[in-house]
Amino acid sequence: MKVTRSVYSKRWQLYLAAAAFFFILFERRAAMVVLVQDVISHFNQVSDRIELAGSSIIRLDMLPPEAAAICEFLNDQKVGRYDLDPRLFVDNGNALQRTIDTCWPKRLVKGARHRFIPAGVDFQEPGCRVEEIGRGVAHVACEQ
Amino acid sequence: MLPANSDVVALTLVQATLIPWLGGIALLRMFRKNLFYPSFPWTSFAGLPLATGLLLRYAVELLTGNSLYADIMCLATAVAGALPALEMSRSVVASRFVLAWRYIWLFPVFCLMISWLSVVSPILMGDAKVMWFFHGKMIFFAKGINMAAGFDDPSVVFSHPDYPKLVATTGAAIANIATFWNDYLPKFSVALVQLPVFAFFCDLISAGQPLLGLVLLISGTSAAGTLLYNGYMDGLLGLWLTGFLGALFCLVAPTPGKSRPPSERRELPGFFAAMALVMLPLLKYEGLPLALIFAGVSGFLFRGQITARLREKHFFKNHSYACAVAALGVFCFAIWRLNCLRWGLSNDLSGDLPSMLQRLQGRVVDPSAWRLCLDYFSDYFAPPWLLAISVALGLLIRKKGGDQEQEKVVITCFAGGFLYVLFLLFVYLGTHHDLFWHLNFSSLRTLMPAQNALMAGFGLFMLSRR
Repeated sequence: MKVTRSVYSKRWQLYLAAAAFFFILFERRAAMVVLVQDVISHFNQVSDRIELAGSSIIRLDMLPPEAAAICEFLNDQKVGRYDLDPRLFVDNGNALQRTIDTCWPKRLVKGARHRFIPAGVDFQEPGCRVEEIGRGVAHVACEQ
Repeated sequence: MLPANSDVVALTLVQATLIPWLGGIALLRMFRKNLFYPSFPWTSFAGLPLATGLLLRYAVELLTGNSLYADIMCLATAVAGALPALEMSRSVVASRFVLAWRYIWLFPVFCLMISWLSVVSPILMGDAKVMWFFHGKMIFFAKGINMAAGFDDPSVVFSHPDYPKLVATTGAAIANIATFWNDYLPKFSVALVQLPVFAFFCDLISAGQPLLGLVLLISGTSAAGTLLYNGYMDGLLGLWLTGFLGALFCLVAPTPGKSRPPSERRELPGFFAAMALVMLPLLKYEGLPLALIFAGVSGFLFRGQITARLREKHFFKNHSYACAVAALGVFCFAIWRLNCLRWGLSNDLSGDLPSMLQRLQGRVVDPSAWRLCLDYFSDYFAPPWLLAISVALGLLIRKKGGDQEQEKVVITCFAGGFLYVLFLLFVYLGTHHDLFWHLNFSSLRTLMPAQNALMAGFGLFMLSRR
């Protein structure tokens, strides 16, 4: 009798564990489907992907347009420090962080000589020159 | 005709893999003559030396604050490791096990797959872009982990500059090899860091423990989705934790290569478990409580065996390589924390314990906070029924039902997973962020390792009762 009870207890615990394991696996199907779809999507245009991976060009097309305009400008003009108007990225997710990351090693410094503001905003400060650089951004250079 | 830049990609990836691998072999060779374990071919030949080499480079970079010194040292150790690597290759061929392993190709396939996915998908997603690999970019441009990197810059506080830097530093090292930073090649560091775990799982599948290998592989990867290669650390954390649990199971369960003495069969899983424990806190801070909880629970359950092993004559001498690597990992963590203190780096959740406890007290008596946590925990990997089943099974496991030692590992999975969920609950209830925002933003990722442990526990329980 004792042996029978032991085997019985062994079995229901085993079935419970198996059910829990496979239920978790079933619950994870969404993540697995996403994984398979994503994996498949990375096996087309192989040569283009390799070319991109080995290129020293930073992908600005993956950024919000304002951020891309700012980083492009900083690189072209070889400007090392810049400031951003807080109105530039209002309600725009982590666009500010993406700008700081992508433009790095150009540094965001409060009160820097080069500043970026939303295009069309009225800006008047003595000794400053405003110039639109496109994609909704204007560059302000102050003499300081 | 080869695609443009294929030479740059191939050369960078080969160098980024070979240099730490050879360096790891050189370091391990200082402590042990024969590094190859026929029972775990890929783990001993490729996985653990690679992980050791990555740790070694990270330690030197942390110590010197200079990428150039770290690169020179890595190259020197790689040269020193070349001959031992050749010798080891000869033992692989001489072991004659190669022909007997049916699924020996599995690891190279995983290796190529994960490397390809890491390299061709850009660093695009939130935290990967503005945290983990942003830090790598800072290290790359400052030529080392030093003050010039700008971790203390007020404009980068959002990126939690005090977070561990193993993957970021490895990414910067890969960019050093390529001589430029882009959004692709540095992410190969993610593949490098997880290859040792895949080597371990593939060894189990190919060399005699297919069910154990599959259970661990499924538990470690099935919830991660693209987190395995998109540059987030959570996928890696879950994978290394599952690796630790698998290694713990191998320490007590019959492992492949039954003709070999048990001491040898246990040696490599022991080394892998030590490596996994030190890797966890170097990937992400959540890794520290994970490592402490799982080490604590398993240490408590196996206290008798551990004490007996520690009393063995020449224990530390015989396991000097594992002790050295574990010490290296602890050293890396300690040096980085010292740097954080020196540079005044802290994150939003640290250093504010009294007010955290105050918020915790406030939310503990607030039913809406509990409801919110319950909703998110239920949706994301830790529903109460799952925790209840794991606790019930953990408590009901009978000594006569199966192998006691194996069931202790199962209890480690359940108790560790459960305690980690409790820890996260404590963190969320004490957060200074809006609770809804914080849960919505992170709970999907933070709870994943806990469920990995529970799932591995159910799987290992089935295997122990077969």
